Amino acid sequence: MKRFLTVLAGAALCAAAAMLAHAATVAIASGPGRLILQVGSGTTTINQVNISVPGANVGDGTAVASTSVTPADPTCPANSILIDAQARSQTNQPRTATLTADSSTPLNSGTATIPFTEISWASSTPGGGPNGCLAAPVTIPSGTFSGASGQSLVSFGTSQRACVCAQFSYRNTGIVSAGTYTGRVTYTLTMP
Amino acid sequence: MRRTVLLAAGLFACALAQAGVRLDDSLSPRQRVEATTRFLYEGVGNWNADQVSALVAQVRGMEFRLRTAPYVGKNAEIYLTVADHVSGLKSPTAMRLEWTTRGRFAPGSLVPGTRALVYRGKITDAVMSDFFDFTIYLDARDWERGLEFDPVFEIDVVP
Repeated sequence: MKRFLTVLAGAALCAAAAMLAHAATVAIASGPGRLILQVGSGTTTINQVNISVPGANVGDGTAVASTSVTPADPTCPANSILIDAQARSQTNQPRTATLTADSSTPLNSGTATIPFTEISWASSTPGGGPNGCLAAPVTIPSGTFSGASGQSLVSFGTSQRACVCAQFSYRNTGIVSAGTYTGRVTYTLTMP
Repeated sequence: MRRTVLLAAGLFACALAQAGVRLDDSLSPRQRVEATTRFLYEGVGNWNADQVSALVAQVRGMEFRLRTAPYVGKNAEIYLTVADHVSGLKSPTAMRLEWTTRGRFAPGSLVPGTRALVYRGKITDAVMSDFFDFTIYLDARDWERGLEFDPVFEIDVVP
């Protein structure tokens, strides 16, 4: 019994030594996540995609691809623009980001309009260079604007990156009045 | 006599288990500090998966006062260590601690489960103190929630 008590006392001393002077604690909290979205060349200028339809071909159903982008996007092939979306989280808890487009306001030339459902895009992977999305694992699929707000283009998890070069084209399915039609599509990246 | 031997054996085993005597730092003015992480690589860039998940947090001017009175006059090595299990972290390799000091102790770095030498020489003061600026690097992929760790100082008496 005495031996048991002695061993117990030794164990207690050992535990006390281990607990000696509780150390200072550093507590670290995670900061907020981060969404990064770049559409176009990355300057403050909004890129303009230009499509020119020959008069003889108006409404014949033959799609017409963009003939220029101003200012030109150095990351992407000619006549296309970069769409680069990144979602980052500071923990390993999964979150999902969604890229949407608002094309609800049609192109117009005076009172004449063309719905954005006439505009499609073809996606390709950027070829490298600065911000070339070399590590991008997610593709934004090719498609056609819905002419509505909140059109979902792609969803992807945190710590992923969705990145493409998009070349736009006019589907050319209807007869429209002659003129220069302009419009704007707004891209939004969200992560609940 | 037998009791003394048993007690001595127990304490010897205890010392072996701890591999370095933990120094009392209860004189330190702050016993808990808090920090928040930020991304190490910010903004648009062609980051790889490691860079996208790289976080950093900083703790400035954390003062430690170590009770070294029992060792005055002895040659010793003092180490900084962090336990290999860090609450909130899936893997100890997902964290690296770096620090600079005001000069009393040496700067260095470590990962949890290891220790780094911060002082070697004769102990001349009953209390040794210094300010530490910590930079904590983390991998978000192995971080489950807010984490906590205890920087601990150990002393080894050397010949």
